[in-house]
Amino acid sequence: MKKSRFQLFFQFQFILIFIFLGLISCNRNTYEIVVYTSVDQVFSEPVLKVFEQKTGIKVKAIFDTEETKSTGVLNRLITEKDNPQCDVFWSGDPMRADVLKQKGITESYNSSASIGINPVFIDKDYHWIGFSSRARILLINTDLVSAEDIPQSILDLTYSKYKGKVAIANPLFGTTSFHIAALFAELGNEKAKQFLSDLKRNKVVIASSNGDVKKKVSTGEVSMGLTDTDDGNEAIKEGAHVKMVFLDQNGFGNLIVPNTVSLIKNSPNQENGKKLIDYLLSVEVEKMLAESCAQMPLHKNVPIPESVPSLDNIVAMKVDYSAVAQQSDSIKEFIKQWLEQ
Amino acid sequence: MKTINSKYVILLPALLFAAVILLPLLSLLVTSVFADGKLTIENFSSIFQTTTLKSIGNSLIIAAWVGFVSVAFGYGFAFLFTKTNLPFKNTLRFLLLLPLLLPPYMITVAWTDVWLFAGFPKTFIYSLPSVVFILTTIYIPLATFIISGSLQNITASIEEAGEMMTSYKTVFLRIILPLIRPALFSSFILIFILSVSEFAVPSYLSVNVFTTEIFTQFAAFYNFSAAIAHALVLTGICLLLIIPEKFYLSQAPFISFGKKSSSYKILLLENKSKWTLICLAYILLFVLLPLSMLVWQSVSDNSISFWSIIEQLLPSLTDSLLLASSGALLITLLGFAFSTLIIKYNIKTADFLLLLVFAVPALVTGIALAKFYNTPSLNLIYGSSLIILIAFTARFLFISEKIIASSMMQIPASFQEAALLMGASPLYVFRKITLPLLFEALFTSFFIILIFCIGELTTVIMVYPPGISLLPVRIFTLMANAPQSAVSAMCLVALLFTLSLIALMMGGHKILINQQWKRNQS
Repeated sequence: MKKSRFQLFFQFQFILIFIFLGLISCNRNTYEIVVYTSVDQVFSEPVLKVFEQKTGIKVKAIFDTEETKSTGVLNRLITEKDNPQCDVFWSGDPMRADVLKQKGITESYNSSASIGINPVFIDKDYHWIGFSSRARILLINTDLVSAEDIPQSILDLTYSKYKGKVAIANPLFGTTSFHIAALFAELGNEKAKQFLSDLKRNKVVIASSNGDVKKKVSTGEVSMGLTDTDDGNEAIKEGAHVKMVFLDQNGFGNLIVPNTVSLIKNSPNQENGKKLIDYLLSVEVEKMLAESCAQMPLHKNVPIPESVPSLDNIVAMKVDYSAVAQQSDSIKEFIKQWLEQ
Repeated sequence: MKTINSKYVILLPALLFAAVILLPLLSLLVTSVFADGKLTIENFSSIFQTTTLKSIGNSLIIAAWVGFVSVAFGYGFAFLFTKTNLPFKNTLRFLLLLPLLLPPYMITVAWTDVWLFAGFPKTFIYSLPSVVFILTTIYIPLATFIISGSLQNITASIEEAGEMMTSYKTVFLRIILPLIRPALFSSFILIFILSVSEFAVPSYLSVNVFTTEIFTQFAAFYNFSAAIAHALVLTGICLLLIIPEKFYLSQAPFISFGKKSSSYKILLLENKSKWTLICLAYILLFVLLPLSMLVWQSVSDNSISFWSIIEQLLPSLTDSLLLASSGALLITLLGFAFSTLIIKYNIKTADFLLLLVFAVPALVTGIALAKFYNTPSLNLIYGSSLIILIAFTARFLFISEKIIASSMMQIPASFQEAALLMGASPLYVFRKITLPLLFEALFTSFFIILIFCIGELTTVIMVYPPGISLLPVRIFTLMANAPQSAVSAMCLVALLFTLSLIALMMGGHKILINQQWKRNQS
């Protein structure tokens, strides 16, 4: 009997489902690696593809998103603690890596590829190692702010002439939370709280993300905003009339935010994980990230484009990254209340 | 005897649903009321803080306004598109649908860019009314489609009988309105639930709502228990709305896309041009204006080519299509099983459970699935795409069941009883009577769920396995630091992809219906 199209349609769907189930039931291959990263996919994916080509090890990645405020993969790692799926965590900042260390999710791995990196960027127990760094910068809309009006210190942002003209991303999330925690460590609780209160009184604009800060400054919605060098670099590449300013060069310095890489405890494929960590810490990757998103290498003598600032020319804030990460936890409740004011 | 057997066959998928989806949610509920092995309500106490209460208030205000305005406009459009001879109504209906097919986040970005370009004050742009406005433009098409389905079910003879006795105005107030009241009420509830759970739009516009509170607990404080406790309160609020529906409208059709009465009355408009222009003006101002901003952004940058965008999205287009179509089929089959349980066997608890799962915020469903399935013994599920199918089922089974159940309710029991009395086997009755009569509803369910699955982000982002690339996830991960032009182009590619699917499905629908019609004729 000839089958109706109706029957064929459903049979076709059943076949699809079974093929699909067949495909997915394959167990994890030992010649693969799972990496979770909070680094923007546009920059991290090409690096992982080169690693795949070089080693033949298949990289399965979970990237983070703007919607989850770069905490999606971190929460997945916390949820997966007792049954890790991920081998390597590539973080956009040391704070998240340190949270995982505190929760017992990462383990020590002292990669030989870290030789040459300043120990300040390495966890003392080797739960995370820093590489290519970004910096927190003040992005200025050059159409709206004249050269003489450019603030030189982050503390200047509380001046009345900048009232309603400055944007920062929500300080409970991302590198902004790390920046604020670093300020608390540098200035002390009382001064830092006063600074935030003054900033609020000066009608600071809270953006939904660093990318949103970039957009607000580029379009002239605000005159300036605190964001990261990669966002600033993107704005310049897009042709916006903006300029990046490193703050407090005559004072306590500008915050440097390195990428970090960690090995996940009891992960399914530790050996491949170590290979990826060694690769991420290489000069080659630092060069790639300098070219793609203006990240500043932590190794010496890495060839970088002219437009990329060198760490040698920036007065960096002196930071104990682990201490700042822990500080961040203690100030969250205050920040939440500050946001709700 | 045979009937009892078929009941148990249908019960199997229901039990499977209970084991696969209800257990994770229950287990999460238990963890939220236990701390260090002791029963505690500590996680719930923070709800009574002033700021939290204020955020709950904001959520309720937004959801209520969006619900009311969407239903009011949705009713207007539904009436014009279904009950009148409005010219180009199919095209207008199609254009009205567009905001529902784009991520709410992108529509918000587009609207804020339009407003900034037009010089609107920031006090309006970053405010509660603008959240209401954007969500309303997104959900009006949903209300339109639900109410249209209900209007199509009113046979012409009922209205004509009424018109023989009284004016159309009275017929409308005394006959039509009571008949579509369940659809009005149900679309309000559906839109209220979707709006109260919305995170991306209020977050982008810096409006503090309850979902941002939940998200802060989860993503900034890593306090899963508090986040879940807050989410349970949100679920409770949704349930408070649902309970009246259970008592008041228990047998009423909730959603009835596609299925229509054999002949429903069409009114002849006195001034067709005026009504066409009103619809066109709405579509131009509230649908095409933000879309044209996305188009303008994507073509304004010469360095971005649509081909390179398609290349970037290609792996996720195929993964999304395969997973969404598998999910849509699975959910439609389960939807059929649940509809049978609820309509044929009158097991109302099943309906309530589906509603309960639907009312749970998407993020919480994601956490529940991740926590429950992430064990070595369940790695086959958690480490594979099965977890995505489960996530889709948790999110959308309720909608599928409602579409199929509303159609099933309209099949007279006498059809099947007569066939059984003539000696036909239950399987034969199912194949030759039930399935053909339900075909449109099953097809509609498959199609609607496919579209929902393709756009689903919040739950799957928590559980999708490494190596799988889903379209909304890929767009959101590429959004960070990608130029606005590229992001806009990505959204347009995703929109075109969904529209192509709709066209394909419409074509398939026509062929299948024609085939069925020819078969019936022979």
